[in-house]
Amino acid sequence: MLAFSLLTGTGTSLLVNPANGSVAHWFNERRGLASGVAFMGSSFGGVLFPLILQSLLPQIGWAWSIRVLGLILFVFCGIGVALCRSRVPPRNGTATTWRDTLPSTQIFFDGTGAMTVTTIGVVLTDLAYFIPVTYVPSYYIARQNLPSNSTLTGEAAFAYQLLAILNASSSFGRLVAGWVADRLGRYNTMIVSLFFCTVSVLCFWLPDILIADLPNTGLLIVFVLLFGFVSGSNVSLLPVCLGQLCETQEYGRYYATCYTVVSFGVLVSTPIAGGLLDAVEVSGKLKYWGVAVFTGLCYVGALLSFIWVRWRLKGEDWRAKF
Amino acid sequence: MTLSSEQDTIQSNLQPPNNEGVHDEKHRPPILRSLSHTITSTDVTYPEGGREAWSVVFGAFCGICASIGIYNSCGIFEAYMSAELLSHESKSSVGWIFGIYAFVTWFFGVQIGPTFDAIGPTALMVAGTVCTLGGIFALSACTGQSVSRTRLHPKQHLSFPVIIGELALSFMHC
Repeated sequence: MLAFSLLTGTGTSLLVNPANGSVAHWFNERRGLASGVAFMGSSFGGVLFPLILQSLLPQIGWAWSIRVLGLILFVFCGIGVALCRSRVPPRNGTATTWRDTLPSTQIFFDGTGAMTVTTIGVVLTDLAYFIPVTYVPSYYIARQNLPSNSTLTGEAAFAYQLLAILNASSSFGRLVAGWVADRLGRYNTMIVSLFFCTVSVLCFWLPDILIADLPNTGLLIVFVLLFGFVSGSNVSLLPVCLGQLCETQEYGRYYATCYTVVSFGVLVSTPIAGGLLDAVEVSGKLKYWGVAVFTGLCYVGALLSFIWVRWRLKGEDWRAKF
Repeated sequence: MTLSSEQDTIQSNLQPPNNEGVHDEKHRPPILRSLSHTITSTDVTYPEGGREAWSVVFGAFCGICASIGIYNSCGIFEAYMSAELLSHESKSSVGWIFGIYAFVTWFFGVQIGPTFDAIGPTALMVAGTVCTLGGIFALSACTGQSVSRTRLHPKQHLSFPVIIGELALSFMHC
């Protein structure tokens, strides 16, 4: 089990960073679109693998289901290895040494603070983003007053289908956001989508929590659809925004450094959300209002960070492409 | 005199030493020579499309599918493990498996990113394939018995690991 955590975790890291970095070597103007397409792979896997496992597990058991999954992964990895190539030569050309592979904190002190504030924005965005995607199923169960063992009896199937809806909507949103971002600027698109993320959380999820005795799940479904769509950019556009702050040869370093900060942020965010759930002393779906407000505030913080970076680097001309 | 013509004179004044500098390339100290070999953004053009570029995007699609796809599927691993394989274990023990996985995934990027800048994707992705498959086949060999050794913090406060597990369980990053 520990082998799975450490080996597969390392493997995931070893696959996603180069894959994402390679795209940046081939696209600049249209990088948003290209990254959007590449990151649709994550939703694709997230829908495909559970479906495969769900159908295989009852028939051939755990060990062989996982081995079949391994073979499928091998095919995907093989295609990835064969097709992913970098183009732009390393900064120091053939003189690249092992020293160039060391991580650096220098990039946070580039004089403008753009990288630092962008990283803060990314951490806040990811903090906010993970809360709905983690708690939507359990929120649905609490909302419908389902018993706690309903996850096993299938009564709560719709709770997990909600996640699938969110994922599918998000995949579509990723594509659109990438396309728009290449035309109007990545930070601009990020600011707009963060604004709508805030709106969707505070104007759709929060009312659904606060208004008792809603006749149906319409409001929640609208929230999941809208949130999925506008938060698609949270995943695919953030790396592209980072790429805008540096040259392509350093993209890997910028991306990885930022997401290392995110990994700690995600680690501390889980007790925060859990603590908020414990702290609200009401039962049923009302319990979630603290979490929803926290999500909304994180999005507001992220929104302000991105606006600040845009203002710092591009000035007050709101029509400038950035 | 207008501003622009002033700039012109300044530039023409600067021009000769600049050209000399280029001719003197060989006589420069080695540090300066290596600096002039540094590749800057102005030297780089991007194809922005075409068969080769989109094939890289497809490769990245597959690579991301095999990595973050697993990440997004942790929910089903978690559900099956806690219901069938590790039913005698607390939810916190199971939660840690995915907590460590999620953390390792993002944290190791700190070294992998700069390495990618220096040596490109192929070697890293081969290593990633080996690690991913090693981990998956280790998982397939997993039965309930091997767990007691890897159980981490049996008396840990429940909510933290459970929520970490839910984090990995969720479709968190994508």
